[in-house]
Amino acid sequence: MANVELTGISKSFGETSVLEDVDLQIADGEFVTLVGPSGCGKSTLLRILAGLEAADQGQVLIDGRDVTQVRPANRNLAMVFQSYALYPHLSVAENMMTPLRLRDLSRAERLPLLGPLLARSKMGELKAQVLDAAQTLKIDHLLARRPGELSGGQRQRAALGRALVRDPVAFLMDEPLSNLDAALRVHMRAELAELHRRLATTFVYVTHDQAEALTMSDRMAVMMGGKILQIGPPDEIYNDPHHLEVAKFVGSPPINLLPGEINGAGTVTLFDAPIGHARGHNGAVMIGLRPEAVFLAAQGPRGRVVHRENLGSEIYLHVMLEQGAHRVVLRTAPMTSVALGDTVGLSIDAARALIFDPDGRRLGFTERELERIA
Amino acid sequence: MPRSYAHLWFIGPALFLMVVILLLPIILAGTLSFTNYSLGNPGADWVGTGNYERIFTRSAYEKMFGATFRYVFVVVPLTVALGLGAALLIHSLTRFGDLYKTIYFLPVMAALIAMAIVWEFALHPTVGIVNATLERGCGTFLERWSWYAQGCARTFPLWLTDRDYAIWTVAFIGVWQGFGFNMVLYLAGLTSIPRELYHAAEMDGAKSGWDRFRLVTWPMLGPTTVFVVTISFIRSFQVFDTVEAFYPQGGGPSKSVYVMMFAIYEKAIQQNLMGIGAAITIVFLCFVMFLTIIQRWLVERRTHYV
Repeated sequence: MANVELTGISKSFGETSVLEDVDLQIADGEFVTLVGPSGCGKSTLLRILAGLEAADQGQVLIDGRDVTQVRPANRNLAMVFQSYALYPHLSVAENMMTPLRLRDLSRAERLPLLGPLLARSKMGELKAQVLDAAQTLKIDHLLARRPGELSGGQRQRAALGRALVRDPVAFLMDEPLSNLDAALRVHMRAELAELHRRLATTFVYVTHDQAEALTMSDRMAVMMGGKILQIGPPDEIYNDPHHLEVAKFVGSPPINLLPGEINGAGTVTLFDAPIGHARGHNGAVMIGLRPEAVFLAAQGPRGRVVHRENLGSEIYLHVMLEQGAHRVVLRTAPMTSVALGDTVGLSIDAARALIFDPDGRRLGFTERELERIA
Repeated sequence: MPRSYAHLWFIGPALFLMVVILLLPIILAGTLSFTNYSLGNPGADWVGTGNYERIFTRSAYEKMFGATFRYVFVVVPLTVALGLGAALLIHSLTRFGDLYKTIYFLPVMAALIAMAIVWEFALHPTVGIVNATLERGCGTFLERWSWYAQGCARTFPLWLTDRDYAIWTVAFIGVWQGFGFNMVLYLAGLTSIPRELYHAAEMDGAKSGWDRFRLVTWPMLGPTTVFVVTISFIRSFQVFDTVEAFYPQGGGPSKSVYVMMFAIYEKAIQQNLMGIGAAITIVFLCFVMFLTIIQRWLVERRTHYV
């Protein structure tokens, strides 16, 4: 258990800069997710924390100790790799035993024939530890098998078991669920979150899937182009994004972006209707609206339903607006009678509208119009 | 559905060629090995297992097996170990790797007959560079080694013509010539090891190079090693050209370098004793078959993890 601190981390591979002056503080026992599109530097940041990659600049501190120059093996971190990186020639039990053998047994005790004689009682302890971790992950019936004889999900658990079996200061996970099928991924999300609660150890989790970040983490850091754009609890990231890119990346289906304007008096208008007042910019802006902030209405901007996505518990309607041919996605109750091709009117919840200036920076409302604007 | 014979046309050509150029000659050799046939004779007498009895009882053939196994059991471990060592060293280099690769691979590419002539000069007892170099060490601390002192007092060994040294000298040249080939195979094996496994090993606490080698490199090279060992065995059983180049008159000093391939050549071609030559060939074939079967078994049992 430990708090982790990364300060001023920069890294470039040749000419390409991957990370630019990144700072990140992770509290003891926290589940922090680094999320972003591929190539944003999230994996590199995790590998710098692990020590597998050296930063060009910056410091890595674990529990206040500067470990920038400490080799990975001495940082006492455990890592789960995307490819699982299990040793294919060893059984699951031997795979899980490996970190214990290498850390807890002396060189003599690891000798092939002599070792087990020298460290009989120690080996018993280690085996008990392996069994314990295996039971936690419900893989105790697979201990004798080799990775090649396991399914993807079982391999993933074995890799998790190898990390779990000892008592590291933090767990690092590099897209551990991305090789699983959709149903198993959803299931493992809940299990990982539960595991984190039980172990109360620091988790640093890298993913490109914003759903994983939203569902599991205490805090999530949205990374893009080698920078952390915003870090905070999932709620805050979703409802209060500080940047257009963050708003676009988080949320599924993605946020609706419509062109609006701020006039000289600071009035924000969307489709020529005022929705509030804002300062800081005059001219064209982007108005972001989550699918749940747009409603069907009798009046308001009209459009045609071009697609209907039924998820069972809710329906997403894709509406092509008559004005400007913008496509808007909105969420409705499952039993809605609207059919494909119908013409509908829309209203928005101005309180949940987000304004972004042309550089993508978020602008705050100074005051808002009525709750709902026709 | 009418019965189709198309499959015969698919396998036919391959089957025909295999029978004509592989199976038939083996069967012929097998048959000949039970006769006393000579090339040019109108017929041959059936001698039963006579040829085989001779191979396993006469002292000349005892020497043949001795020389062959000495050569094989020196050359195989050394070429495999040196090949692996060189591959590991080159793989760890960031620069000049290609240069070393070329240097170590040169002896594999060079014509062995030409190389044999060079070695003959180098190992010449009086004008050769090897003994000349050794003589320079006389009078130094090296003389504390009794073998060296003896060499200084009298002469250094006649590497190629002393029966105590000849087979080891030929084996040394075999190692020199062969390990570059294994090195290339091991290099290919090394590049196919996923880097994440080394990272996992590092995270698991494998701090020394030896730990990483034991945990990742050596097991992951398992399939390569099985192949390398088998091919080395077969190649060293087949040694012929160095022996023929050094000792065209037959088998070296008191037949101490009388390896199997040379025996086949001498009996069947030089002395026109086809029957006995065929019998040695069949014995040779059995060795190679045996090794191949062991390799198949190992590959299936032990080294394929997926």
